[in-house]
Amino acid sequence: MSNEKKGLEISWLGLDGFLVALYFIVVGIIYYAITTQNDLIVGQILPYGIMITVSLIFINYLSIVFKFSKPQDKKL
Amino acid sequence: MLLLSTFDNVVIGVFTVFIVCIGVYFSRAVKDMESFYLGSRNLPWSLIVGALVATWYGGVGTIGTVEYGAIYGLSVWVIWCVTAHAGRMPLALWVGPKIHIRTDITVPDLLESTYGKGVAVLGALMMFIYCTQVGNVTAMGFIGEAAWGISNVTAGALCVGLVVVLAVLGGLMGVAVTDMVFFWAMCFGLTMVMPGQWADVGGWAGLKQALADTPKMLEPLGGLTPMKAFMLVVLSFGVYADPTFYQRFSAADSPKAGRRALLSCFVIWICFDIVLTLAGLIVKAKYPDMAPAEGYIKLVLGSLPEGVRALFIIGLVGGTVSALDGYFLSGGATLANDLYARLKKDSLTQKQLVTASRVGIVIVAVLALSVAFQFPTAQDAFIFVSSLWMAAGFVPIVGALVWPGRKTALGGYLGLITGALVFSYFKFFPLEAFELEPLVAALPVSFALWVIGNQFGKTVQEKSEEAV
Repeated sequence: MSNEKKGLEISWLGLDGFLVALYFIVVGIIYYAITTQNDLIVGQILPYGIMITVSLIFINYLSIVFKFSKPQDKKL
Repeated sequence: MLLLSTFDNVVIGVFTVFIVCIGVYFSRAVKDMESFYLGSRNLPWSLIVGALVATWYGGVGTIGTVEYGAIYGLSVWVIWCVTAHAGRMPLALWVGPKIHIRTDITVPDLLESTYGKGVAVLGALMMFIYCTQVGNVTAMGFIGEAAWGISNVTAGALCVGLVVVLAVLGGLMGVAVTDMVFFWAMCFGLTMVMPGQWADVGGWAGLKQALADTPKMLEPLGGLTPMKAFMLVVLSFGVYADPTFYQRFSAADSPKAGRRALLSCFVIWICFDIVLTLAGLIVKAKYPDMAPAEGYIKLVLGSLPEGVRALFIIGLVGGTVSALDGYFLSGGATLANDLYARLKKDSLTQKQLVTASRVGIVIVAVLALSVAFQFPTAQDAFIFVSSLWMAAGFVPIVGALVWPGRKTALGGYLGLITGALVFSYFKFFPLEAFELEPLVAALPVSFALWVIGNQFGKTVQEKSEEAV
């Protein structure tokens, strides 16, 4: 199989499927928090969850920057 | 009363200088149009996530969601946000990866390879207007007024000036790296205030009590009228015709990285959306008579300690800057690559293309600034410009990517022109008998005439075979 076709293939049982499922799971949790008026989820878990997640993504990016310091021909 | 102290302003000033330095640093890496516009197709997953979140959200996404949360309540999240992101799943799974493996750089390149040069030029003109993103400049005006007490035009001009410096110097790589910093500042800065504000308002019980006169605002399906909800859901599909999305996906280091980045964005967005919607409800509860955007900034700045306030403002302004730099970059490339280069008989060198793109960025910026403050709210400005582009571009662009049947120049012209005309007609001459959103009327007409038009004339492939 060519690299081009491989890139287009969706791994439903891998990371792609997990991310799709995660979206609907998160929606379900938030909807539950709204309908049951749960203060802990919307007032604490969600905000801190976002702050931790975006910080991890930012750190992941910084680690790539430190690995590849040349902007001209390497990943940034 | 000024809400920011001298120390806050010093922190913001130092951060601005740091961001400009990033643009200057990456200007050295720009060699040709591909490195300027697509970052040499080398952007990793994390950078695509940051650039997508920051660009698509922008000032409109943040201030706009708070405004809508304060006006329509929880139904904004339940009906609009959830459906919008779910409806974009096919974009991440199937459409986006197809874009990555195409050699076209911009949306008009795609239109030219499918319908021919004329449709590409017309599409480029319409896309250029969309890239002005006046809603974000309008949002910056509100932020400037509330945070520093300066006029909205001055705030807009300062913001647009910074955006021009970043986009002109660094191209996509400079924009993407600064977007990454803004992504973190925006998500972290705007979310960190939530636990304190939630406790302060008294949680659900406090909100219920404060909004007792408007109980529909706390109902998951109340608040939004059916036509408004339908229009917002339809509008959210506009990303299928969004030039910055095509740019980001093409710039990913692989189709897989682009797909996973966008799927990750959906999870981040849906969480961020509920935080902003609830922030809107808190603003409504605390400042019922104040404009929501102004109330939001006052609410947050009034409760945060010195220095931390600066992080919040950096996040808020950063969202606006990152959206504008992405769109201005696309607008500049559209003017240079898709209009100037197409209409000029002699082909342009790579250096000339980059220079023309930089001039194009300045033109987009001036145009955006000159019309941004004609709209009463940021969301109004955003919806008008986005709807016009979506009405015209959605059918021909998505059709070019996913429709396997024949496509001709006539189909492309009819899809673009009728979409824009029907939208404009219903926008300026609304039906009085019943509520009809112009975009909802324009899309089916654009699709019907696109299908009919594709039955006539020759395809691009047939024309090139004939020429050979």
